[in-house]
Amino acid sequence: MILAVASGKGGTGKTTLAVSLAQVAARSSSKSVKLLDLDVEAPNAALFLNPEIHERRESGIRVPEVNPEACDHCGRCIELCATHALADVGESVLVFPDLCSGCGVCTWHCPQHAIREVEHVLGTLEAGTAGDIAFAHGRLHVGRAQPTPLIRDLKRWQLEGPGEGIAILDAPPGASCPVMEAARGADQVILVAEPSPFGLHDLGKAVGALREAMGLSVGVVINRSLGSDDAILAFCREKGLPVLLTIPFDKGIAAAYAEGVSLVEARTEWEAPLADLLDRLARKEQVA
Amino acid sequence: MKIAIASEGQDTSSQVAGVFGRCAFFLFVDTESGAVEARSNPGDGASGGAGVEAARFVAGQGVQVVIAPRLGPKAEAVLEGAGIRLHAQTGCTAAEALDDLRRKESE
Repeated sequence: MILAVASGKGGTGKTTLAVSLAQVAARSSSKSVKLLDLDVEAPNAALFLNPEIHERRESGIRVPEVNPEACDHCGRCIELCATHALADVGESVLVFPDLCSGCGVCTWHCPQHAIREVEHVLGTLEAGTAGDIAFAHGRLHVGRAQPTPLIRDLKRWQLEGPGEGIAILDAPPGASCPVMEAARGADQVILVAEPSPFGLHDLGKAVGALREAMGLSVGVVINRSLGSDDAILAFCREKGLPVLLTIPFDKGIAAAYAEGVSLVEARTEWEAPLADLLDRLARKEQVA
Repeated sequence: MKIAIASEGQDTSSQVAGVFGRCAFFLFVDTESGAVEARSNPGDGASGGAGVEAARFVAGQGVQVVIAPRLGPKAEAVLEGAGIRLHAQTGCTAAEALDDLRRKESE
């Protein structure tokens, strides 16, 4: 089972929930448990799990380099590039690696074979273990602008296809390419939402991207509930979104988080509800 | 001389746009004939690389000067490569910016 923990708004509690689910699964299940922190722009699950890193490698994309001797300025590469990463300025063809997606279409279609590809490193991938949990994360280098290829590469490296184990993916926040790449292939997406107007607005965006556009199965966990979540509950009812769990606002959880202690470590009474949630998701029963 | 002005509107009474890459229109002005042609900026709707797209478009029209508040690093690289210079102007109409350019050129 592959579970993606995502959110529209940042700071709603994705990481503390993802880490807690992994910790509960490792304790209560006989299956292998893996946690991938895919929030490569700000990976922080390691702060809670303190993993031992066993493997490390660089990751990047291949970007074009145009040989000015061979290029006859036909413009084919520029016409095909979907991300405006190339510009012909007469003497030479300029390449902007920050805009390139590494798709290779320019190289493939160059009639003069004037393009070769060079490695453009985006970040570092690391894998290891945290107790019984297999752990991996990626870190985008400062100044690099493309998290999505790094997320794709980390999943390719560390995530096998659907198997017997439990894989929990800690996704980046938002509703654009990085979160879509992170959630791709998940059996179930858990959207963590806080019951604020901002939280509700961004929940709507995330549902649009992950359920309406990608067709993924999506459920909602309400975090920091103050007991009156009418607007978010009405939204979930209207959209037919199952509310999987409600976690109340609790200063103790926030204080523990600030010390690098997860929800389930700080509040052991959450172990049973989280084990029950994992069980329900494994049996594809969503409604709490 | 041919000039491209990043503009909010379609004639020279329009304000110079606040940005180059995502301005609504470019006004192409031929200083010899006085002809003014407004064209939509193809970079305006781009999800990324708007500056490159806009600079490529402008360079393809054979202009020598661009009037805009400033350029991003990628647009600057494209225009510089194409031998196009920037006349930085902001907070005025396209006509006023043209007058300013003429004044500076005649000095």
